Amino acid sequence: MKVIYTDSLVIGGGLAGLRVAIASMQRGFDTIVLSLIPAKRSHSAAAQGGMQASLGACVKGDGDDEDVHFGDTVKGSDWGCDQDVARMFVNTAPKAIRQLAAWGVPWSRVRGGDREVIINGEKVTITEKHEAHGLISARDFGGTKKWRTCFTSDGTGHTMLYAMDNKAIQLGIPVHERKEAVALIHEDGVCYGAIVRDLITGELIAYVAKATTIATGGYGRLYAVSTNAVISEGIGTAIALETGVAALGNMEAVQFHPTAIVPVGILTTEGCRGDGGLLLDKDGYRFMPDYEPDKKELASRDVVSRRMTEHMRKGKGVPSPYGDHLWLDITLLGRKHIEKNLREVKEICEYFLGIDPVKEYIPVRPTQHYSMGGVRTNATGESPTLKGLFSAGEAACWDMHGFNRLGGNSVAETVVAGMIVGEFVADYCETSSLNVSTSTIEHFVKREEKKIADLLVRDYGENPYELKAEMQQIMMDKVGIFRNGPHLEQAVEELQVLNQRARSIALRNRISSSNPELVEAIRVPKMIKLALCVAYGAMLRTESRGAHAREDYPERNDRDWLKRTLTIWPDESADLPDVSYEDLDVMKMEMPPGSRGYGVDNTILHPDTEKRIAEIEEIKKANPKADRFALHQLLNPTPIPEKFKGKNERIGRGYK
Amino acid sequence: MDDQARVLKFQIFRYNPQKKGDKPRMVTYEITEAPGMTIFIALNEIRETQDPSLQFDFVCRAGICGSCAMVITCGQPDLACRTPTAAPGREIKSLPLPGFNSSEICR
Ligand SMILES: Cc1cc2nc3c(=O)[nH]c(=O)nc-3n(C[C@H](O)[C@H](O)[C@H](O)COP(=O)(O)OP(=O)(O)OC[C@H]3O[C@@H](n4cnc5c(N)ncnc54)[C@H](O)[C@@H]3O)c2cc1C
Ligand code: FES
Repeated sequence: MKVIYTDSLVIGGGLAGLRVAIASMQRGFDTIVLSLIPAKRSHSAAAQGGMQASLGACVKGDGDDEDVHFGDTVKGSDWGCDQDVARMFVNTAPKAIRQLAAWGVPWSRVRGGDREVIINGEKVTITEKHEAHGLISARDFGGTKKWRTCFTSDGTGHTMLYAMDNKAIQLGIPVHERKEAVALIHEDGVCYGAIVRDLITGELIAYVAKATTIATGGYGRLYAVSTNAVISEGIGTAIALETGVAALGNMEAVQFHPTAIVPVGILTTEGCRGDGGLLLDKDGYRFMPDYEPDKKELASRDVVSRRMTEHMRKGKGVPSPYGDHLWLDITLLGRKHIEKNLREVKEICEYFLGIDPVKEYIPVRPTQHYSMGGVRTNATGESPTLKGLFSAGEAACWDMHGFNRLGGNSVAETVVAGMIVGEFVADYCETSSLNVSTSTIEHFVKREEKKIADLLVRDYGENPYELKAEMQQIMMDKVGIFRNGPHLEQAVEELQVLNQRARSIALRNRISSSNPELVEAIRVPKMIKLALCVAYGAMLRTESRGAHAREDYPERNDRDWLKRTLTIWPDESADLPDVSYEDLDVMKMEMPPGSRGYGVDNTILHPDTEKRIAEIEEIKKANPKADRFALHQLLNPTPIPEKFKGKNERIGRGYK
Repeated sequence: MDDQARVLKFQIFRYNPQKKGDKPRMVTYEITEAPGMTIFIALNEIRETQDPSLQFDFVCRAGICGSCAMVITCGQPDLACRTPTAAPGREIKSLPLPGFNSSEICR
């Protein structure tokens, strides 16, 4: 049995994983990162549009601060997020972005003076302040009050991940690549690392650690068409579920991005619309202002995706051999802008569509994009039920996104969570000792060995590729943008059948070393379980909130559903997870539930909402001298680590 | 499927050093071209329907991450995920990029 010991085991070499690893390494703990692939190829590299942080340097970001960012984030989440986490996040994001600048991210900068931009389809001249010249700039994104999304052209993830990985290399953090965590080691409610399969030799290795962090990204590939990388299969999330102890949060909260190209589903960033691009229908008509007169193309993502779908259902889509789509028009931005700030988009259009977006419209359609759900953690990033298990980034339900994430808030989360959770991981390494017996480790190694051995001897059985394709189609057809009871029930039933079939997968290529079919056979049963969590959670949630839109329950129902879905899978032989709910406490909210300002507000109110609004007024009255920082403390105290508590400076405003 | 669809011939460099006795060789696979097919789509189809042992690396499948760089047909290193099958012609050779003197094999 091969065993590797470390203090801090980080599963995932994307932005979140690397940032956690950097934090625990800097605090002096032995740290190892695991990754399926070389870290720099992680999905984070594909993030295009940018990272939100309220620097307020560009003129359209004037007046921005943590509080405005907080409001946008909570609204964006449809009040489904954890407000203390959102508060920790917005306060730390400016520090994160400045630290990244110091580590080498070449953020696009403000140029003092006049510049021409496109706003609401019109050319407008804006004048950047000369004193802001050279500071980090920002572009407009959906669902935000200010231009807050900092960027490096449309290769933001790329520059961030390269800088982050270089920092990890500088610190000597080992990244063990071509390694796949296939199970967690745990006993009596404590996690002690993971069983890991070497994807080249096929060897199983026990990585034994004090703290284990899951930073494996999202589960977009549960869907047949997704903007996500092909390795975004949710395996890290699934191994947490398979402990039967750790809970997943809000798995039904799945985001669909308005503008992925048809048919392959590759993303064109929200920056296209942020920079002035428009959505057009088959008649070349700009339809979004009819639906959302205020925010138009830049309403929150879930809203735009639904509006586009509604419009196509009215027969306004452009027919194509791959189904209807709409047009994204960025021609009005001009060649110079596109070749500078949207060059990845341009390349994608050229290579995958054979069109020039400077002159032609881009065929787009809403497509699976982001997983709000994931490993449920508390504000410190630790699983409330499995000690020593942490999670950060898209894999986690740390829960700053609730039921809809704002564009630009995800790469921001990866880094900010990496910083904050990384400190708590280090604290945990400092205060805990490793008390795990060899027999426990052996038990988990043997269990995984047996599963693989069984796969390698079975003569007849199911084809893992077919099972996966069937699962992905069910998710596409029945657990999509608009959902309804009958479809969701069918989806759950069909997935349960797949879950049973997945117990008898047989391989055609029966070797234990480097074998893509075996990799698939290990992953697919895990993915089907996750799909069941998503579909079942969606079936049970009889309301609409953020990206979870039920045609049969169109109203947001705070009275009955202001809660987070928790899913565990305690019985391995079962075909359904156990679902329970965790209330979101209105009486602790810094920003009590309100309207998001889209369409008709049909919210069913929570009985505490009025009470909390009144209470906040009283607190404010009783503390007339409290500035906004003192008010945060009074209304929403958070466990933000000491080193990130400092105030953020802004041009023309100082630390106020 | 339209009648005009071409049958593509893929000659792929195969060698699994993990497997005892395995020798480097070129293996030929045939598939029917579909509209908009890329080498990414084609290789996946071959793996799923013909040879589950076929190894290749794709991550972003959008021409961003660089995982899928390979030598395509004679001497052309390119990102397979963004290479349409229409580009290299009916016979497509695919060789790994790193550490191989691929031009020799290609000849
Ligand atoms: C096309 C696209 C564009 C985007 N653009 C933006 C944007 O402009 N702004 C924004 O805020 N967000 C954007 N996002 C979202 C954002 O990029 C992701 O949410 C974020 O990068 C996820 O980072 P991560 O570190 O959590 O995970 P990832 O970057 O996905 O990394 C996951 C890591 O885990 C490893 N891994 C996975 N499973 C295992 C396992 N079982 N064992 C070992 N290792 C494993 C992988 O190898 C990888 O290293 C975009 C997303 C997409 C799809
Ligand atoms: S798979 Fe990422 S570049 Fe081809």
